[in-house]
Amino acid sequence: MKRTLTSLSVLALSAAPAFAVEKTDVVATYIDIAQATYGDALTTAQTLDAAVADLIANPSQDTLEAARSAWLAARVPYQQSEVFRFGNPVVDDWEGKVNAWPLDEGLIDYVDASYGGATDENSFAALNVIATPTFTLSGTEVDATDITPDLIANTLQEADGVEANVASGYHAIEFLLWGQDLNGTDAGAGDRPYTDYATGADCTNGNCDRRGDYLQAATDLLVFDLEYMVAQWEDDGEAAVTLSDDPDAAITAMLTGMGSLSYGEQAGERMRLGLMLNDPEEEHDCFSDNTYNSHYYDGKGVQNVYLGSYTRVDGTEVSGPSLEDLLAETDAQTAEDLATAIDDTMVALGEMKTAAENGMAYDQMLAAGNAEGEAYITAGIEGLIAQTRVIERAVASLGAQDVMIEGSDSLDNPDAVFE
Amino acid sequence: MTRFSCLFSLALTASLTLVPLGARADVVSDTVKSYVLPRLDRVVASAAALDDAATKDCRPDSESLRVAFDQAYLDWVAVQHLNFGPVQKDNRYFAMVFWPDARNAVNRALRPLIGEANPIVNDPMAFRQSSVAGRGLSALELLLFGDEYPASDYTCALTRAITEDVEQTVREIRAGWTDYALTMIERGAENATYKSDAEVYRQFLTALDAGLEVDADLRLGRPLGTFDAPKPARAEAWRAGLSLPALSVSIASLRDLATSLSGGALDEDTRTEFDRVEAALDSVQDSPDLSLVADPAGRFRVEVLQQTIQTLRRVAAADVGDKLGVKAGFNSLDGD
Repeated sequence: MKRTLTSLSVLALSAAPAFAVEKTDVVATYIDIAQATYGDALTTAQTLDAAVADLIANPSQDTLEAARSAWLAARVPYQQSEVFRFGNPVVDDWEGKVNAWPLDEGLIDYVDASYGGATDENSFAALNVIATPTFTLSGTEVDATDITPDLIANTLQEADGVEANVASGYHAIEFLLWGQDLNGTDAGAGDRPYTDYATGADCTNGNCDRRGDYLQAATDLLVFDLEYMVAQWEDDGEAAVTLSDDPDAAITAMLTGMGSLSYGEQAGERMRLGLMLNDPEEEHDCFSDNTYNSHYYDGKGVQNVYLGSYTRVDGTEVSGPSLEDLLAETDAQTAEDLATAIDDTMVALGEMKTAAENGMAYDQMLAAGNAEGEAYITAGIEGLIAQTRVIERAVASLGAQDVMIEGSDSLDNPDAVFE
Repeated sequence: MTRFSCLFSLALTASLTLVPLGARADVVSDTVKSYVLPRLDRVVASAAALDDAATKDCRPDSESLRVAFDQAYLDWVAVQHLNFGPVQKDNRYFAMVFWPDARNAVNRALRPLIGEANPIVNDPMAFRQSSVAGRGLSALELLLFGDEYPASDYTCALTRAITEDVEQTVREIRAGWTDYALTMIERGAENATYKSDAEVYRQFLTALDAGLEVDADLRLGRPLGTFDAPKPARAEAWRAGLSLPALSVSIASLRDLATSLSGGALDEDTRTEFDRVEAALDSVQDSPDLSLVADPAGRFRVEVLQQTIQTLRRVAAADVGDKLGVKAGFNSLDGD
């Protein structure tokens, strides 16, 4: 065929790039990246699970630090997976188990007096399950003498129908490793002593055995939940099959996830609202002060999907035909604009990350009157909003149907992005 | 009166001369001049009265302060659904009333202020930069009607800081509407915000639709919770006993908006549904804080009320939308 090109096919070739990008290939790359990202989230969570077991068996400052490091490492791939939310119902229905936020941590363990007690929203905001083996929940007596993954997942999580009753997932584990950050908008993260897991007379703050049981059960549960999600992205898993069966709907899912994570979730709920409230609790990883990394790797996940490339935790790269390639065929300008917009966001989030690594934690950036900190956060928000506008144009250029980008009522003009 | 007042009463006077009264007698012009602006003027007046009352007597049990609070709160509710234009600048919407408050943000703002007796309350400009949750009517409600913060010299100063800030916020909103009224009335190809009649119609229709959605899904849906776990403490402003009055004021104001958008008279179907909602409202008058949601029989009445509002929402959006030739757009509750 190559030697016998007709004039017509020459014309066709000159009008389109030499190597046509197939939607099915772009979708296959997306599934490959999801597989790899959730796979990395699982292996890093397994490492965390082992580190937690070590902390509980041999409580010391070293084993506590090792568990904290493992948690921080586990966040890197997980945050990059958040771009698979919103567009994929399998992920959306499951996500709250592993990354629900914000939480009323007093449900789980002891808190400082400044935390307060029950609230209008949540009668169980200060329940303290670790200190309370039996209690009544919505009229039913609960036996929590054994703290198990089942108890956490099926009784405590969203207890009494309240979303802030987050009993499972990364943030519950984060609270049990770091404790409350009582420094407000000043320097410093949570400072839970390792002796909270000590045995006998060394135990601090009471119920160390139950605290250890909770931490181990919650971490086991995280591994279990991630195993489930990895299976959904195997070639015969529900998420992968749904996308492969309908490449047009898959493109819609990709754009929906990119836009909704950028706009309503990250720019709105996780960043803008915190600035409005100047509240140090309004940071995604509020116990560990790891929020800058969470924001950075959320942004990175959007870039991964667009460019069709993910760098695994072991340094290998998973890549293939990308959404950018597909868009460039129909609208080269928008394809370039979107790459630039995402780049700009990553520069802004990178500057926030650098500032945090140099000592200005995210909760300090939220302080009323910290103009420099506010500028870092605002630059990130503006970058995310700007890239959402370009995603909207990409939706139009690709003719993608039914893309609904999640909003946030904290954003000044929630309807602007739909115009 | 506050230090901001002079500037903004000037702007207010100017607005009357800037809007070309009667220049274009149409639905938009009528709605802006006869519906929006008078209600905004009313909030400005009641916010000023609230600040005056706090200046005279800042004690939480002051009857005049409490009456002024109720009036300002309800006058704000009457315009709250006009959540576009000047209201969206500088977080003003959230700085007036911070509800729903799923994250307990109001208490999280008040607790450190009061705990540290933060002197920020003596500096209006600095106070304006603090958490939106701590400087509006929701925060004031906790000071006046809650039991968590005992009255002190500090809570008195905080009360006055809030009333001054609220007055400033509504004056800014009203001042912003001076230009914004023209932006809506003078829509067209040259107008950067509203390029056609349809765009302005859609804005108002969305406000009507979203207002009814807030009434059904938030004002009633949040306290209803589930049958097994009703949540009376999630009702709006329940400590002040304003949950039901706020709903009634909202419905009445939305009825006026629908009437104005319909050219002065509602379609029969929409009128019937508004009448049904008002009758259902009468059936729960004995529970201004909506605490009856916790009682099975009372709960049933609230569910009926919620359903009538949901029906009204469908009928009104269709009727008024047909009349204007547009459909309601997205609002910030979408995606929740």
